[in-house]
Amino acid sequence: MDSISESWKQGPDRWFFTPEGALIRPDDGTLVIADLHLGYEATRARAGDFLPDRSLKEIQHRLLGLFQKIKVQNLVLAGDVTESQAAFTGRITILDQFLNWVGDQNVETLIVAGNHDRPSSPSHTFQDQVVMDAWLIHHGHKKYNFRELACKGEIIGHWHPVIKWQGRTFRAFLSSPERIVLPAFSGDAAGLDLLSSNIFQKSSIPYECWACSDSSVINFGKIQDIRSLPGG
Amino acid sequence: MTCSGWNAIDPSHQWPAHQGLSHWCNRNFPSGPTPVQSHAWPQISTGQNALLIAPTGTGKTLAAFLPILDDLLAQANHGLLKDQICSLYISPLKSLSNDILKSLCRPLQEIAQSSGAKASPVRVGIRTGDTNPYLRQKLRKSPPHILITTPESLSILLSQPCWAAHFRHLKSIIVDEIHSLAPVKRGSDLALSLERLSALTDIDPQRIGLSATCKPADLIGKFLVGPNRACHVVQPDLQSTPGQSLLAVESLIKADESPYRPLVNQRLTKRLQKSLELYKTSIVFTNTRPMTERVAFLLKQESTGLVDPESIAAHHGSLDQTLRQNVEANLKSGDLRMVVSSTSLELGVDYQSADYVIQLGLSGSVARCLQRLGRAGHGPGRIRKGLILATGPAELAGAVVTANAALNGEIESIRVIQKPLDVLCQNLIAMACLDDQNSDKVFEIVCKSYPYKDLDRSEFDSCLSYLSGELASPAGAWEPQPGEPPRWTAPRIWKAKGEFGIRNSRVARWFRMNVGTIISEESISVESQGTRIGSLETSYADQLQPGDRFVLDGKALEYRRTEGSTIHAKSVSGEALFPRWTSDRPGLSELLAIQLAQFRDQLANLILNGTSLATDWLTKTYAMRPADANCLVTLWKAQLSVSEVPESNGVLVEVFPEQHGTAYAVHFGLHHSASQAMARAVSSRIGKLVGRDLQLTVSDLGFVIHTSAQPISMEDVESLFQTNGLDADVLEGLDRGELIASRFKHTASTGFMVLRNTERGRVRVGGQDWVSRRLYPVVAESCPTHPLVLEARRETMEQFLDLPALKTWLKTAPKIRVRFLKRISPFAAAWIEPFGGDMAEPIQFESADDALMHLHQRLFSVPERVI
Repeated sequence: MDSISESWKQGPDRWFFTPEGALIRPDDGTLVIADLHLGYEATRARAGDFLPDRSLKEIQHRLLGLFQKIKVQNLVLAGDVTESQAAFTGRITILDQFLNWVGDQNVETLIVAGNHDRPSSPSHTFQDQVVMDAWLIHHGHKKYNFRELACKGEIIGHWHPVIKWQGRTFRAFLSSPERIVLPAFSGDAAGLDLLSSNIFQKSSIPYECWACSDSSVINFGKIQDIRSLPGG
Repeated sequence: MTCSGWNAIDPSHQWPAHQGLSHWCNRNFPSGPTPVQSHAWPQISTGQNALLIAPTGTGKTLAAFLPILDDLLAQANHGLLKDQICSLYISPLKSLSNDILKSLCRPLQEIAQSSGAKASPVRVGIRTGDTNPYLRQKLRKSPPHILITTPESLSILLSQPCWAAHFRHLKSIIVDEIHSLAPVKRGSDLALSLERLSALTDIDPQRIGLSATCKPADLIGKFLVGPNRACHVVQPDLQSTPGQSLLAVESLIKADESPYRPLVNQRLTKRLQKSLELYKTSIVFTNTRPMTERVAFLLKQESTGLVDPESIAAHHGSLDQTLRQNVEANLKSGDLRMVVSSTSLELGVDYQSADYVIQLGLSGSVARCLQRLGRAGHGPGRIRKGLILATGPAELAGAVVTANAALNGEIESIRVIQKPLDVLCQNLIAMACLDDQNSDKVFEIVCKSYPYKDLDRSEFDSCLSYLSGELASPAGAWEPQPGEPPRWTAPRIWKAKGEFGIRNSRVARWFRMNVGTIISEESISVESQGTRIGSLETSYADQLQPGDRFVLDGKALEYRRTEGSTIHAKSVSGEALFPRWTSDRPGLSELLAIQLAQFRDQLANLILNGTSLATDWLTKTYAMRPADANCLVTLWKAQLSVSEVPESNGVLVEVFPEQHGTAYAVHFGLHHSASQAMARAVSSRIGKLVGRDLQLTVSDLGFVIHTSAQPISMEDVESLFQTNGLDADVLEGLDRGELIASRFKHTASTGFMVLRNTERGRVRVGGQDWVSRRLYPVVAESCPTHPLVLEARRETMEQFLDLPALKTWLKTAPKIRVRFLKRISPFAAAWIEPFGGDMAEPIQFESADDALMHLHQRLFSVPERVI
C-alpha cells in the first residue's frame, strides 16, 4: 500500500482516486469505473467508418495494471459500459469478451446501466444502481436520493470530467463529502472541460477537482475557484 | 491607380456556319466575334484541346460553345443527331452551372423558334447535387446532348453503369474556372474523373479549359489534358486595348487609434453607407462567414433610413441554397444594393449590375484580388472599381502592396498538387462501384492524369491494400473472434488475382453520400417559422441554450430547441451574437510577402531620413491618403522606438518576458508556409533547450513562440537558425504539434476511412476531434506507411510548409539581430499576434506528469496542498 499511496489520492470516506481514472476502496477491494463505452469503434464502423478497434485491449491493459497493484474483489461498472447495440452483437460479443476476461482475473463484476446501455441479451444483468460500502453507485443520468436509501453518499459517472490545457486532456474526479463524479474510463470519450464549462462551477455542491496524469493525481482545489486563481 | 486590360471587338472573323446560329450571333453581337472567340474557333472547331484565357466578360464561354453548338445543329439538320451525350460542361460552382444552362437554352430556343420549331433539337441538361431524384431519373433515361455538371456529380455519374454507357460517344469536355481547381484536391479529383471518362469513350474527347486569370498557362494546360496530350493555349493579347481598373486602399483606423471592435464596426458601417450612396450595386468580400454575418447585420441595422434593409444581403456557404439562389438572382437583376460575401461570390456568374467591389482585409494573393475586382464593371469598356479596406496599420501595409501588385498585373503562379493519395483512394472506390476492375489497367488510367503522372506502382498498390483492409493492423485491433488475426472494420473493396471490386452495395451508397474533397465541419440545419435559413457548425450549436440569440442571414434569431438535426429559432429584433465557423484563412502569397518585407524595410529607411520623405513616398508612389500614410509611419516609428524594423534579408528575434515565462517573436521576410517551416525548426530547438511545452503562433513574415521557461542565452538564440539538421528539426516540430493530426482528419475523410455523412447519424461521445486525437496516433504508430498518413504528411509538408523556399533563403546567410525587450513589440503585436496568443498551437516537450504539475504550479503559484 505504501508505494501505491504515492500515486493515489484519498477522497471522502477512504475512497482513493487513481491516475487511471478508477475509484478504489482498498479496505474491501472495491474498484469502481464508469463510462467504458465498449464497442465505440464498432459503433462507428456500423455507420460506415473503416477503423482499427482497439479500445477493449486498451481498457483491459489499464485494468490489469490496477489488478496487479491491489487485490480487487468487486469491480463496479458505473454505467455506459457499452457505446451502443454494436457491443452486444456477434457470437461472442465485445461485452462478453470483456466480462469473461474480468472473470478470468477472479474479480466479481456488478454492472450499472447508463444511458448508452441497451442490453438485448438477458445474460447481461444491468442494474439501475448498486450499493457498496453504504455508497449508492449509479450512472448519474437519473436522479436518486441516496439518503432515502440509507447511504452516506453517491458515486456517479456520465459527465466525463476532464481538464483541457494546451492540447492535453487530463481525466478529472470531482468530489464532495457526499458525492463523487468519476471520469470516463474510455479513452474515446471527449470529456467535459472543467476549465471552460460552467456546469459544475454553477453547482451548489462544493466540488473539489482532482486531475490525473500518467502516474499522478493532483488536487486542484474547489472547482468554483479555479478560474479566479492567480494563473487562471 | 490604373491598369489596362479590356478587350476590343475584332470584326474580321465570321460567325459559325449554321445559318440559324449565325443569324442569332449577328442579332445579339452585331460587332462580330470577340478576340477570344476569333482565336479559339480554329482550335476548337477542329477538335483540338485548348485552354482559353481571357478576362471575365470577354465572351470566352461562348467561344468554347459556338463550335460545339454549330456541330450539333448541323448534325440535327442532317438528321444525324442521336440521343447521346456529345458535350460535357463542368463548373466548380452550382450557381455558374445554372447560369450556363440559361445561357445555352436561350439561343437554342430562339434559333428553334426562328425556324418555326417548338423546341430545339439540341437538348441541354443539368446534373448537380441540387438536382432532385425525379430529374435525375429523367436525365438517366433520356440523356441530353449537352450535360452541365460539377466535379463531384461527374464522379458519381462515372461510378454508375447506366451513365457510363451514355458517355460512350462524348466528343468534348469544357472545364470552366480551371484555375480555381488546378491547385486544390478538387482539381486532382477532376483530373482523375477526366481520365476515367476518357477510358469509357469511343474516341478521346476534346478538352477545353476556361480561365480569367491563369499562370503559368502551360502548366494549367497540362493539368487539363494530362502529360501525354497536346493543348493549345489561346490567350489573346488584350493589353493594348482600352479599359482600366481603379483600386483604392483605405484604413478604417487612424494613427494612434487601437483597432477595437466597436470603433471598427462604426467606421466600417459609415464607409459602406458611403458606397451605398455612390454606387448602384456593391459586392463586399470579407474572407470569413462570421465577418459576413457581422457586416450584413450591422449594415441592415444602421442603414434603414438610407436604403431598404432588404436590398442588403449576405451570401456564404452556410446559408440555405434557396436563399443563396435568390440573392444571386436579385444581384443579377440589379435588385440588390449591396451583397456581403465571404468568398462564395468570387467565382462564376457575371453580375452585370455590380459596379463596385470592396475587399475587407487582405485577399492573400494578387490573383484572388483581381478575381474579386473582376466581379464589378463587367462588359466591354466598363471600368472595374474596387476598394481594399484595412482594419489596422499592418493590414493597411499589406493592402497597399497587394493593390500595387494587382494593378501591375503580377499574378502568382499556380502549383498543382502532386499525387494526393486520399483522392486516389476515393477514385479507386468510385471505379470499383462501376464494375470489377483490373489493377494494371486502372494504374495506367490514373497515370494518364497530370497530378498522378509520377505515381509509383507501390503507392497505388498500397492504396488498394488499405481499401481492402490488408495493411498492418494496430496491435490489439479488432478480432472477429477471440484469437483470430486482428482486422480493420468495414473494408471497402475486395482484391484478388490482379482485380478489385467493391465489397457490397453499402460501399457504393456511402460513396455517393460522401463523394468529393470539400471538407466541412459537422453542421446542423437552422429553421425559423418553418423556413430553412442555413446551418451552424455542431460544435457551436451544441453550446446554445434556449433564449440565446445569434445572427444568420444578417438577421437576429433566438434559439428555441433542437429537434433531430434541426435547430428551431425565432426571428427577433435587437442585439445578437455572431456564430463561429471553422475556416482556413489564406496567408499572403510568396510574391506579396516578399514585396511586403521589402516595403517595410524601405519605409523604415525613409523614416530614418525624415518623416516627410516617408509620407511623400507613400502618398506619391502608392497614392495613399495622407491620414493613412501617417497611420503607417506612426506604427513604424513606434517599432523603431523600442526595437527595430526587420530587414527584408535578415532575421530579427525579439525576446520579451510574459506573466508566465518568455516569448520569442521572430520576424523575417517570407510567406506563411516558409514561416511555418522555420517556426517548426525553431520550436524544436527551443523545446530541446528548455524542456518545456511551447505555444506557437505562425503568421506571414514571422512567428511567436511562448514558453514558461527563462530566456535562453544570446548564443543559443543565434544557433536557432542554423541549417544543420534543419529537416529533422522541422519534422520534430511538426510531430510535437497538432498540424499533421489535424490534416489527417481531412485525409481520413477524403480517403473514406471516416465518413462525413453516415446513414445512422454521427457517433458523438468521441467529440469533434476524435479522428485527430485518437485515430491518427493509432494508425500512424501501427502503420507509418499508411497512404492516408503519408498523405497527411505530404499535404502538411508541401501545402502548409514551404521548406524549399526556407532553405533557399537560409543559404543567403541572413543577418540575425537579437533584441531583448520589456514587452511585445508593436510589429509583433500588429503582424503576428493581433488577437493575442489564445489560438496558439501547443508544441509538446513535457511528459503528461510534468505538464499537469506545471499547470498546477501556474494556477496556484504555490506547491500542491497537502491533504
